[in-house]
Parts: sequence; structure tokens; C-alpha cells
Amino acid sequence: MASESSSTVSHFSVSTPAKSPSLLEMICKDPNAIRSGWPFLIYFVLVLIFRQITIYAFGHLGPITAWLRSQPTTVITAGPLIFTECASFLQVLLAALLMVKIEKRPFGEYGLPVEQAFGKRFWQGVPFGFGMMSLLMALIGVFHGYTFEGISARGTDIFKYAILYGIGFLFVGFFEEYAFRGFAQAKLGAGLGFWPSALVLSFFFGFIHLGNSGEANIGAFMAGSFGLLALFTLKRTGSLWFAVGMHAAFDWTETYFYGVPDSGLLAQGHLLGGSFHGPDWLTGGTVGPEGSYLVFVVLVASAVAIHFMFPAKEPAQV
Amino acid sequence: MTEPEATGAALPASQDVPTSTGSGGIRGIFVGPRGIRPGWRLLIFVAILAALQFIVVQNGMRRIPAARELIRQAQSGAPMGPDFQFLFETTALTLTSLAIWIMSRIERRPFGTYGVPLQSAFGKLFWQGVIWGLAFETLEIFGIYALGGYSFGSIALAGPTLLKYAIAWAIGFVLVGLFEESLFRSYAQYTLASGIGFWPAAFLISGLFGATHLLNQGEGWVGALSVFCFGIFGCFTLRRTGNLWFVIGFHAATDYAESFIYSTPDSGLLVRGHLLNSTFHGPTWLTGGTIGPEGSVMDFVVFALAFALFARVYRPKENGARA
Repeated sequence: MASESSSTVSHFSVSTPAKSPSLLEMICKDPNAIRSGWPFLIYFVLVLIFRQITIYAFGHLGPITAWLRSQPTTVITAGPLIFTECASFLQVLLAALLMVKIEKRPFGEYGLPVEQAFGKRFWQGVPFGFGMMSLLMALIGVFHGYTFEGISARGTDIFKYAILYGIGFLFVGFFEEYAFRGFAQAKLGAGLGFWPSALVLSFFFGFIHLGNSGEANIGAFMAGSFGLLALFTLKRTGSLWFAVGMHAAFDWTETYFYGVPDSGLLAQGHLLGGSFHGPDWLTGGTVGPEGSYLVFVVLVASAVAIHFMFPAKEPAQV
Repeated sequence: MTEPEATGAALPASQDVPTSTGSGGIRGIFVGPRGIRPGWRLLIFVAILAALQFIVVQNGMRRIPAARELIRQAQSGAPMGPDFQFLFETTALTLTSLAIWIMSRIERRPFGTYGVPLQSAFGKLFWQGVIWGLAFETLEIFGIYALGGYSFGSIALAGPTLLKYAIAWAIGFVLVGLFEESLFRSYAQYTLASGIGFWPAAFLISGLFGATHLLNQGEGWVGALSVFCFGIFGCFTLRRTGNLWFVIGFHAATDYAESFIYSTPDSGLLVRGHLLNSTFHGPTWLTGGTIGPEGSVMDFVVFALAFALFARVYRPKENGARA
């Protein structure tokens, strides 16, 4: 069959000096695809497969299925939070481990170097996340949107739920940071550039939050913006450990410590109690503080703080 | 057909977006060693398109009573008429082409670089695509018919009305082909491919192409999978022919045959003014149900044949055009 003139086809084509490549060769020898595109796609497919297997298993493993189905859906409870978030993290971790095995590259290249596990960066991130949420609550309070009403939890429940939610939100931090800012960011960033990839992945991070019951557009937008902040910490610190600590602490402080709605849901067994009053732009309405417009003030202040805490070392490395 | 990096070497001059020297600091965020980073180029394209859509569609067309009425009718779920098709597809094609043209100016490349060279417009490849598209859809419908899932029924139109709709839908579906191929497999494919490779870009964009069709009323995940396969096939023709004219013709012809000639739902959408009073009967796996033939298992069988045949007929060239 005929083709168009060479002048019209050359931009999507390539001259091959000798023998033309087979389809398989074309697929396998494209350097950009090998460096970036194929690993990203294979990782994405692996995560989808592991996710489907997990969903199937959760629906067909007698006692586990019964236990999960018996849990309330209108509040956050520690047990299912730990169980489901741990499973979610394992899905992305397993997919990444398979990819590093295939690529024969160190696991630490993709955001979570094991030698830094729960080290300095993580423990810097924890108070930072606590401070972010506390600043947000303080700002809402300053504008008369929140009234503190005392301690809700009693006795040993205080410690029990503090630890259980600590574990649960640690898995949330691991899962969400690694899924959107670990292997996927490394590979997509290698092809598209760090920040374009960050914008795309943060957009999807925000978008999937719309799937949470009780979430609203503003909350999803906040989640996407939080994703960009986490990527800024990745850029400046070189790993995701700060972001994992920050993320876990931010959610823990919101859900357990202040006991306010997280994506529209309250936690069973939270520490403090209080009430919101005022317009939704201030309080976040049913979504919770993450739906407040003041969250963007906190995110900008946090970005400025991170900029000074972790100055750029090599500006050319983007 | 490959994007330029497929040679294994650094990007050729034609791929670089001209920049001055240096890539450190803030500038380094946007500019890499080979010019503006592919991701930024893609995001700029999306931003331009979104801005144009917001200005022209949201704040322009919706203020025009006649256009507003056509949009309302289309959103009501009633069979779509060619008038809406002309309005929507012409506007969408114009905005997409404008966005691509702006990017071509920014990147200082000819417009035709992105797969739709105007000097080849409606040339040999386009008409080959049309024939392939008509044959593809005919084979699929006859396959369903042979298994007892489709009846042709009587002729629904006659005389000048038949001629009017035959021409109107032909123009309408050429516009569909031009718009959808320009949107998904022109600048977007070219630019994403320059970052992550041709086939990974093809898979991602075809996935998005399939997902967007889920917004159609009556569409389902099998139909979206079929649209994904269509996207991959489109990229394969792009790879082998070097431009999008074949797949534009193919796209227009399959939609035209599906909607007008065989008078079946297309991605869940029915059109007003079709040739036959055809009916489907039988299991959904065979007929596609409300999705139309795209949701039929026959669609995937015919796609497999189309891939195999296309690979044999349009072979990679020894030196250049069809890699």
C-alpha cells in the first residue's frame, strides 16, 4: 500500500540505516519507553492486578469478609483502617519490589530508602504535620469557626486509640505517598519532567479523593495541593520519609487528636471534642477542616517553611 | 513510524524546542537539556485547550439561544441530529486545531509535524482508511447477523431525505474523525511520546480515550475497552503510515457505517435520520446491548483481524517512513 510523501511522514518516523526493526524491537528498544514509559505502565498494571486480587480476597475470605462487612461505614474505625490501608500499601510496595527486581535497580531510588527508615526526616515530618493541622484549627478558631469542648476519650481508650490510629494513619501515609509519589513519580518524572509529572499525579491524587464518601470538590483540591507540597519535600529532602511522617501526623491530628471530620467522617474513639459554626468556606462544612479555604493558607505557609528548612542544593537537578 | 527518540540517540534537532543556554534555577524547572520539558508542553497544550473551551463554549456558545437549545436537546438523551454534530464537532475541531497551531508556533515546528499534514489532507491514505473502516464495520455487523443477533429490517429513509442524511452524517463523522484523532493522537501523542516513548504514550492516551467515552449515556466498560483498542489501532496506523490521515478516514467510516448505514448505537448513542430500521436480538455479548456493536465480542475479533491484516499490508519501510 502506498504511503504519503516522505516530507509529511518524517516527523513521526525514523530513518533506519539498515534493516527495519520488527514491532517487538520497536517496542523494546525505544530508550524513553525503557527509561520511563514501560516501567510506569507495567507498575500501574501490577498495582491494578494486586488491587483486584485484594478486593476479591476480601470478599471471599470467610471470617475477614464477615468482619469487614460488620464494620460501621458512617464512622472511621481503627481496625479496618489499619487492615485496609496496610493491604493498600502492600499492593504498591509489592508492585514496586517486582519492578526494581526487573530493572535491577536499588529500591531506595524510588523515594523510600530503607537505610533512612523512621530516621531524622520522618521524625521531622511528624511534628510538621501536627503543626500544620494545629495551625489550621487555630486559624478556624480565630475566625470563630470552632469551639473546643473538652476531652472526649477516657482512661485507657486515650492511649489505645492514639496508638491504633497512629498505626492506621502511618499506613495511610505510606500508601498514599508511595502510590502517588514513589515509583510512579520517579518514572513519569523521568519522562515528563519532575513538576509536570507532579502536577499530573497530584491531580489524580485529588481526583480519587472524590471517591471518599463525604468528600467535596474543595477537599479533593486540597488533597491535590497537599500532594504538591509532599512532592516539594521529596524534591528538597531527596526521599519520601518526611512526607510520610507529615501525612500520617496531619491525618492523625485531624481525625484522632482534634476529633474533627476527615473527608466527612468522624473517628470512633477520638481524643478531643468540639463544634464547628459558621460558613462552609471557614469550617469546611461536613467535609471537615480540609474543606476550609484556610487550608490553602496553611499549605502556602508550609511550603515556605519547607523552602527554608531544606534549601535547594542543586538547582539544575529537576 | 516512531517518535524521533526511537533511534536510541538524543533527540534530533527537529525535536528540540529552541531555548537559550542554561537550565538551572527556576528556569531548570521548565527547561531541560533538550528544551522545554515534554510534560510542560503537554500541560500548556491542555491549559490552552481548556481556556479556549471555557471562553468559546462556556461563555460564548451557551449564550446563543439556538446553540443552547441544541446542547440542551443533546443532553436530554434524545437521538442526536446532524445539526448538533456539526456545531459540536466543528467547534471542538477548531479549538483543538488552534491549540495545536499555537503549540507549533511556540515550538517552532510545522503544524503537520503532529500527524495531520495539510498537504496530505483527504489524500490516498484517508480514502484507504475509509475503505478499511467500511469493511471493518460491515464484517462486524455481518458477523453478528450470521450468529443471529442482528436484523437489517426495512429501509427507513427515501428520496431527498435519504440523500440529505447520507451526506450530512458523512460530513458529521469526518468531523468526528478529525476532532478525536487531532485531540488524542496528534499533539498529545507526539509530545507524550517524546517523554515516555511511543507505545507507553499510546497506551496511556488510548486509556484516556476509552475512559472519556464512558461519559456517553449507554456506554459501558466493554465499549470503553473497544474504544481503547481503537486507540491502539489508531496509533499503530500512525506508526506505520507516518500520519493520521488513514485513521481519520477509518474513524469516520466506522462511525458512519455503524450509526447511519447499519443504524446501530455508537458508543451508546443513537442518531436521528439513519438508513435502516434494524434491530438487535440475542445476548449482550453478541449484540453489545445498549452500547452497540462496540460492546460485542465480534468487535474484538474484527480488531484482531484488522491488526493482523494492517501489519501485513502496511509494512515498515526499509528506510524511513514506516518504521
